[in-house]
Amino acid sequence: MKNRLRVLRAERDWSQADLAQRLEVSRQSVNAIETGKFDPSLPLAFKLARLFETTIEAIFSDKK
Amino acid sequence: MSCTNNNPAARRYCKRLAVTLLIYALSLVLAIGIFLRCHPTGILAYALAVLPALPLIGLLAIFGLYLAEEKDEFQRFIGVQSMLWGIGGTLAVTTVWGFLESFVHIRHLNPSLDSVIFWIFVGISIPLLLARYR
Amino acid sequence: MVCSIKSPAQRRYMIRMWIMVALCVLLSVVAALVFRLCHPHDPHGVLSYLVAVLPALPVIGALIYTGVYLAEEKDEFQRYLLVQSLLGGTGGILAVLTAWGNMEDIANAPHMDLIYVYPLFWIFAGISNVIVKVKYR
Repeated sequence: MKNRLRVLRAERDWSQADLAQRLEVSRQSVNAIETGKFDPSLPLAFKLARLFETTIEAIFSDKK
Repeated sequence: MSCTNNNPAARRYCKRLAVTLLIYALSLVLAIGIFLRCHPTGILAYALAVLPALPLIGLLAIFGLYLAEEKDEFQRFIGVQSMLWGIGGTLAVTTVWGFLESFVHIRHLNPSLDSVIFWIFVGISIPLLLARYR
Repeated sequence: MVCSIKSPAQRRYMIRMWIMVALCVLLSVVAALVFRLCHPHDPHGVLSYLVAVLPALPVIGALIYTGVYLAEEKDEFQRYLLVQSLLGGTGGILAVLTAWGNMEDIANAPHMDLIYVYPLFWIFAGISNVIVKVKYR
């Protein structure tokens, strides 16, 4: 699913590894979600939204 | 995932299943017939023997395609879980039987029966898995 | 997942699996020795069956630990990677078993030793793991 994770990361100057550590997942997982090849579950999506202090819809977009 | 479903992925799965089982029956008759008549040996014999196995292997591919095409993620989830329980059960039974064969020389188990065992475990696990979500 | 451990759950899983491998080898040797040295009078007695099944117990343990890992692992993508590998392993091993079984039946191929099914399964799972990882690079 398309998402703005890369932009949001860049705004805070976080690497994928930094984000992975904050989410308690592997860097591989962050990369898979960021590139749109893997959709996170609801709990993980909520975690992301809280981490970036925004809503899930502001991060992810299911419009083709 | 039943065949009376309105779900297009499930319907396609059932159609492919029926076709494959038909091909399997035909190829089995063909292979055994040729064997009894021509008595081939060596590589030709092996190749002929593998022929009926191909549709059976196709069954797995069909189920895999179903899992990939199914849009309902819960059905997909149940499907994947049931396959994992299927292979878990199969590996357990096979390994125990293998050691019994080696040490106490019980009847040899034909490896293709393992596929049957696999699908039995898959079949058993599906209602058990669904029961958790009733 | 073989080369780099990405979570504490994975570390636990690796350690447990290697312990099971060691136990299986050890118990196989023990069982083989028992059968060679003791020459049980009744090869189909309960005790013989119990000794014969001993090496299979760590294998069942390994299967259980795989399930435990899938339940413990918090990282859903790592869970997904393992599941894909296991499914690939399933496809591979069932294909081989079906083909070989037919060859045994119809073409009188030599009997396949069922003990090697589980290691062969992991070989196919390993191949699938590589393919899946390439897909998500």
